[in-house]
Amino acid sequence: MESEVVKTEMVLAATFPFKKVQIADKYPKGQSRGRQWKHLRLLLQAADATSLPPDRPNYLNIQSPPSIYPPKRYCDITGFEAPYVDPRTKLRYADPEVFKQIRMLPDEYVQRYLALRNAAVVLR
Amino acid sequence: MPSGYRPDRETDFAGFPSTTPIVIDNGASTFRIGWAGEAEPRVAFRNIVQRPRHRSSGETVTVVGDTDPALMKYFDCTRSAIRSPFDDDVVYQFEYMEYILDFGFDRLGATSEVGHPILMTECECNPSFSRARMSELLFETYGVPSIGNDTYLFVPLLSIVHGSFEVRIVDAKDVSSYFLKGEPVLGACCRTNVGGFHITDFLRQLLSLKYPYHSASITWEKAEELKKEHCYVALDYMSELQIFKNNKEEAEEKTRYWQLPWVPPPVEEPPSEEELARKAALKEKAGQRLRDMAAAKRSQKIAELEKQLSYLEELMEQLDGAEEEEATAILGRSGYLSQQEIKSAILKATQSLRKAKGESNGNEEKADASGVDKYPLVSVPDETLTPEQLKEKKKQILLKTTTEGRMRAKQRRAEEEALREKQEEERRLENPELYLEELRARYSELSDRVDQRKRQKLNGGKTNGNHNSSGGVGRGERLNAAQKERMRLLTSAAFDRGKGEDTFGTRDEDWLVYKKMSKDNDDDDDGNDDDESELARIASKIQDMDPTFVNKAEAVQQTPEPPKVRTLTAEDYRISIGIERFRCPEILFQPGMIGIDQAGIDEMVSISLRRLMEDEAVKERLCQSILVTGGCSLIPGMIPRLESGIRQFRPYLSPLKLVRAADPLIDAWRGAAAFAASSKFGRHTFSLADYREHGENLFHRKLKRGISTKRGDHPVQNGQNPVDEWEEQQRYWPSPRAPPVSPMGSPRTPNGSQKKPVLGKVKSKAKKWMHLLHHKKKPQEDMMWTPRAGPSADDSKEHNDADYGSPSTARHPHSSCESACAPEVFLEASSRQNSPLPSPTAHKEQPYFKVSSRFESEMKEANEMLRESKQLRVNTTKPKTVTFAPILEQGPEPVKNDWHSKELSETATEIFSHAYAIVCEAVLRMVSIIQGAMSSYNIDRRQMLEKIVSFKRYMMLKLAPGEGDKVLSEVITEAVLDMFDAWCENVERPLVQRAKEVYSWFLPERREELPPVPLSTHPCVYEDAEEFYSLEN
Repeated sequence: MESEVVKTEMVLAATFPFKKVQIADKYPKGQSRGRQWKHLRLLLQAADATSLPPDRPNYLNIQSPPSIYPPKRYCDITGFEAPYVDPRTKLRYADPEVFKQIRMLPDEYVQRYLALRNAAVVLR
Repeated sequence: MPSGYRPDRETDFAGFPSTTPIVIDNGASTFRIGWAGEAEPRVAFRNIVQRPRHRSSGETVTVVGDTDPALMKYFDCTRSAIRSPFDDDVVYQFEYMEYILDFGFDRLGATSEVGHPILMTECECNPSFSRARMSELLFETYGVPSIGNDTYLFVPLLSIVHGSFEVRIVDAKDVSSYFLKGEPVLGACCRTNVGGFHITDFLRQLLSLKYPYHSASITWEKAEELKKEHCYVALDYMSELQIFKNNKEEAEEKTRYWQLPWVPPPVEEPPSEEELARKAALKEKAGQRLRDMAAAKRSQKIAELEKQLSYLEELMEQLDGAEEEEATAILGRSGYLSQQEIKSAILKATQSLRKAKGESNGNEEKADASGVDKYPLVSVPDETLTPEQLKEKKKQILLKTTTEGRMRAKQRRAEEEALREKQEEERRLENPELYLEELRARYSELSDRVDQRKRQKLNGGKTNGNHNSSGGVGRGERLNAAQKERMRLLTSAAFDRGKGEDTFGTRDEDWLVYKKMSKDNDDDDDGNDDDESELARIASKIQDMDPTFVNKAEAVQQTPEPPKVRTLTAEDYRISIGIERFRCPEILFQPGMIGIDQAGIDEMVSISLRRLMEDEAVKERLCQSILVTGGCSLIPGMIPRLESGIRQFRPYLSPLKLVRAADPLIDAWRGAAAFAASSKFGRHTFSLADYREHGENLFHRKLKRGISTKRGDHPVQNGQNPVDEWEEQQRYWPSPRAPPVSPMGSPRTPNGSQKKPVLGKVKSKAKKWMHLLHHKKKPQEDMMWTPRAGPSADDSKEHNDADYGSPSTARHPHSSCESACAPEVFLEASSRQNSPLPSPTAHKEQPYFKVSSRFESEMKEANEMLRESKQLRVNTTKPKTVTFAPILEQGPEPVKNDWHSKELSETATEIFSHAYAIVCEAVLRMVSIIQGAMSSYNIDRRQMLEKIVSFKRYMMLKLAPGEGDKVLSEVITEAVLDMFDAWCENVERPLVQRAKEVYSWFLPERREELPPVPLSTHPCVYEDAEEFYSLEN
């Protein structure tokens, strides 16, 4: 280790005297242990929300419901209000200038713009 | 906190007594750790982990928190992203959490052990698995003696700091936004999964899409910085957008620029005159030297040649004058064989001399002259020639004929050309338009063909920009046509061998394959040349006639030229942030902008208020002290915008006041620290012993009852255990029987309920039936429900339901209950009793439809109605419903059983009259609720009636009841209609007043005083029906 790295103590030590179980014992090195964790979505599914009494607050049912306002549509590129949708790329756009721009966009960028509002086509 | 900041290690860890709790604010963005009772957290760092590889040693190391970018050069971060243990706002990755805790405790100065209680924040309603894993980690890995339980429920704990019940928190935290009321009402919480993280991410993505060339410079840290520095919340988003769309100057004023580091390219100065002169002189000098050298060489060569020539001439003279023998001697000396040879040498020397001297050697004339005698042997007869000469002659003849043939063909072509030219000229003169048209057609045809061929050669060329990433890019796609053909030949050659008889090579054409296969076989342009020349000819012709014509070939030729590279200026390295300044924070108010279909934070206040089932006065009070906290509340303009947003949901001119927390970032930590220092903390912890006894089941609801029944022998602190704490929470969770506003005194008042013990009994029966019905609705249990379940059979269910049944307010403290399960129920329910009097029994009521927090008080109301009308059904509607025949048969039985044990003197008549009273009450409530709303709109009774029925239908639709409930609702409709029929007969009386009388008549106390009311009811089929009926009339 370089001296300045050591000096700033930026690297976490392997063992700590205040721990009962050291991390190396818990997650032994060189042993492929796969994924030890699940994403929240899966965990919540596993917790089986239906078994919980619905009249008690839990993580899921305190979430806010969808808005009562009709969703506004904004241009994906400029952010202005967008009356139009390009049927080919499915991008929303505000005016013809933006439309030209959209048609020049490479496919990757189109998908990235769509991904911004969670509308991208995810191929698996 | 500047990026790259590393916290120092604290030194006074040992100085704190082991009872002082450590307070951790485990926020999704920042981890803060410190001591209870102090004002500031000791250590704070970004809650992230990186696991890069150390470059020189190759080992994987762990780095927690922000790092100095200068030091990261020693690490290879290509395979490790920056990771957070949080998914949304829930800790899900406990390995990373452990690294972070390691670092946190280390920085706090822990040496031998973490022997302090821990108070750690978490999100509202943290799922139990996350909670269980976190305590497992703290207890088992760090040996923490106890964990603060209370903060396992809330993040900010500001209620304690402010000490007021009315504080309401809009926590615009890094990932989520919450609403809490000071004394936290979990039921009135509301969360939208949008926060500061999303704002930063949105900003970063937008900028890197807008400036793809600079996407490397637009890092997360930079975006965070830009957000904190420049983002603001627009008071009116749409009008702000309009400003940016229409008003250029103002928009320009609001736009911020971020200049990326840019070094202007070195400008080339035009060289000065002297420089030019000097360079020219130098060049001239070098040229001169070369020229001199060449001249010297040439003169040397000339001299040499002249010398040789003079020698040879001298030799010739000598030979001419010499005798035979002398001549041989001279020749022998000179090395030449004959005089002839010397002559030719002289000729050669003369020629080269002439060449060297730069004179023209007259080769042209010679060539022309030799044109005739190029083939000298052709005209010589064969007899005179030697065999070699004969061969030579044959060759010459062949050559001659071919050249002549070529010449002839050329001539013929020229003639043809001329002829065609003439014909075309004629055609042109005849009809210029038609001719031009023809030319054009031919031109386009030819140019298409040429283009196609070119494209084939280049393999289709480029498609338009939009699709260049689509389609396969396999090996086949990259080859041009010629290469493809070659591959085909090679493969066919490879596979044809060994198949049948090998006939390769028997024909000469076979060998051509090798020529085709050879790599540089791309020159198959023979036909193409013709086409191209024809094309050029036609193009020039058309141009002659039509000056506006643009030659496609030329036009195409121009474009492929690379556009002149514009030198990059500072402008190109400038990132403008205009609309993004307020577009990004706007996602807090419109989460739909980033595809999250949830309400924005202003709307969430109204949802929270609705979920908080209090009356308007309390809500109004709450709205006067709304506290806004969390990192995002620091964005300028947040408070006014939030205020205007909330105002839209509040009644006109109702008071509203928003306060921003003094220090939104560390308020949560401070609240927790103050709480941990207070005496309350001890009661809100659970210890290692608890954990050892119950394990992580402590956190799973399913075993809660098991724990609570064991309460007697359980070590409790101050009479509380964690589960009780939880129970206690439930008091604040409003019951499904939240008080609807009723215009008249209802049996809900203590008075009413106490003077009607029988009513309570009937209700307890009704509860049981409802309970059964409820279970029928659950698909997993009692699919084929039969009403055989009496009180004894029901015990187990009753028992279970005590656990997750909704807590009820003690509305009917004197309700009777089954003796078998009474102690159990009492144990469960007593902790929830609001009643000041210790009641001997408590009855549980299963809500008719489970009340989710989604549906509000109207749903509760519906439950109420259905519940009570159920009794009506039981008592009055036997002839109507075949479906419910079992109930009717079975229904009175448990009642009788109860009488047996309790009050045998009660008659069925009384029960029925009470039941009817309940129906009346229910209908009255409906009437009053609806009438209250309707009277202002001056709607007549008919409409009101329709309204009631449609209200009922709406509930049916909303609640999706089973078959039995539908019948039940019909009964309600029936009852409502009957009531209205009765009322229609005496229209002169005010509706409510009349109904009141109808109702009060059934109360036994006043029965004597009030006159009987003519009401059309269903005929009763029970043995007491006559009596009942007579009483009525």
